[in-house]
Amino acid sequence: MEHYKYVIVGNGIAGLRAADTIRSEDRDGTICMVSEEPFLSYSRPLISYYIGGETTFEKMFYHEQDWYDKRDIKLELGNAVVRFEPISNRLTLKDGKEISYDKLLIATGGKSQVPDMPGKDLDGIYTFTDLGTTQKIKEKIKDARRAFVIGGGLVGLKAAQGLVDAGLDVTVVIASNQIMSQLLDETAASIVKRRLDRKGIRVILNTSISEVLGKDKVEGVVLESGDEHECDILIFAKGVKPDLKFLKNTEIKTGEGIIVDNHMRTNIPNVWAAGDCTETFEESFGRSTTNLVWPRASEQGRIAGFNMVGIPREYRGWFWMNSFQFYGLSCISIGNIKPTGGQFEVMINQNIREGLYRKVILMDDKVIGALFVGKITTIGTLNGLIKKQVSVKGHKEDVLEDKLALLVF
Amino acid sequence: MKTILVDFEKCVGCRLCERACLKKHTPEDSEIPHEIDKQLSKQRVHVELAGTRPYPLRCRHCDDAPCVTACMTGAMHFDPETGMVNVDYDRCIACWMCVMNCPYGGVLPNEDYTKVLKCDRCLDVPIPACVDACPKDALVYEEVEMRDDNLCVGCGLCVEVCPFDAITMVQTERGLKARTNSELCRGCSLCSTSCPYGAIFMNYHTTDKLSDQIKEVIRSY
Repeated sequence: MEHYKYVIVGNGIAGLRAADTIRSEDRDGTICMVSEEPFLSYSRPLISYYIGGETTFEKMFYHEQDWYDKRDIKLELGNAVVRFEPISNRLTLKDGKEISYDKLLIATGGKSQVPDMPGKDLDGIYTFTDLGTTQKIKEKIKDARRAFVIGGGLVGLKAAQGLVDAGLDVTVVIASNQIMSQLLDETAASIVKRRLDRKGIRVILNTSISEVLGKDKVEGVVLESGDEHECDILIFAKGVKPDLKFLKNTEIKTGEGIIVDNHMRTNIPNVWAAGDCTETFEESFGRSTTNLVWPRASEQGRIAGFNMVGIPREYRGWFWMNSFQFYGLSCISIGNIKPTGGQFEVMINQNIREGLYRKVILMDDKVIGALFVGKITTIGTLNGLIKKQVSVKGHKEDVLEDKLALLVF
Repeated sequence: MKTILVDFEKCVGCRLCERACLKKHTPEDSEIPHEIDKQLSKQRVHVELAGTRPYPLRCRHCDDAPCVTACMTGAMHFDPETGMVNVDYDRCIACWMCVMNCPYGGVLPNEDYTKVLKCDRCLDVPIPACVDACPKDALVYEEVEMRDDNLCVGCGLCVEVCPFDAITMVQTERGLKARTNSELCRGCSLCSTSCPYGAIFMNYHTTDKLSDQIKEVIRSY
């Protein structure tokens, strides 16, 4: 049996950041990273750029093998954990190898699944979260013409962009009444949607698919309305959930995700968890919740790394934020941008024709949300204001402009 | 470690730093900078008005920088050799994660929104262009860590505590004295807090300087 001081399960950003942090603070402790994926850590958000040909396979990876060798980080790639015994500090891998550890980090991320429906096992149906599947999609689109994407969040639309860039005819099916309902309000969504329309991404709102047609490969889809559409690729880009499969029947406490405290520690003292697989108490949501987004995973990985070497670092919670760009149209959304109830103050500055839109939401003179489309310069200062709960009384007009630097420091 | 410091009592908002920065980051042979190289020709320091006070915004090359943690492609990285946060333009895909996370407004989109730009501290010249251009000495390029040789007894404690191996003991005319390699120093202040003789102090984070800054903020509103 091999023994390591630190074992990290998962090769995503949380696992990588943790490994990097551990090595910078503990130069001698042995580290091993285990992943069911056969790849070195790569940038998951880049898979849509890879499909669209905007980036190359080589540029997907954060570091080359050399980086891991120099830091003496042992890798067990393509070797999933099949058995996990937290009480005896032991893991069994797919190839039969047994590993014991002093400290363990679980950073297995999220997985999406194809929902149950007639035809769900046909060839040509994919989820959109990992590089292996993306390589298959890239191979498949060589002789495909029409693609359907299910899900109108950032992942779904980025997948659609990648497929359009690769030359396919793309339709996105969205269950809610607007695109990216978590990130954008209706006005911003309409600006972004117009940009997508112009680039040839067709969007169908307020519906989902009920059946996949085809003999042994996808030939079409049936919408809830009964309409049939032809297609030869179908991508499910919604419903990503924490990947907890190797924790079944173990002592690790889970809810929707792995339940951790604010030092990323699970209910077992020498086991930590970080990234998309965790469930944390979030003040901004008022409850314990999962949140499968990239910046949170990155931050948690780093915090877990520090705590694992014995340097206390606290996870101070997270609030909803994301940024993206579609064909030159930039957008950043931070905090609560769709307030309900009466005690909110909403300030808007817009020029829809130019594609410019700025909305800031205040409560008790404090910024609680910001949504910028078009010109996004220095929105980070607003992020600082939200995080630090700074009162902007007397400077409300400045909030919509780029004039807030001093309030942050 | 040397770094760019701002004394905003002295800043008059002339924006010469912006122009010097733009000029420095424009290829020498171009006449209309923005048209020739939209990717990189843009100033990386911005003078904004906070209330009535001008204040130059620029990257502070943070340790544990929020932009580095947020970068999803690995383009934004901390360079341990120079102690700076740099962008690998080859990897940047303009997703704006760094712009969203920088609380100082120090990371900015370029002219055509295809890459991010930030201060590179003009490493090829001895003094950064913005500092060189500032007529009021509001921007200075200074050593963060200072030492009083009269107080240093050469005990060597600072050498032991320095996590960056930046300090060595040197035999001088006045005996054994500590000397810092400013290339290696990251300005962490461990040496100054552990020096039993008060011989090392931080040039930037002194109580006086901080209280000056706080007073100035209060006064400006």
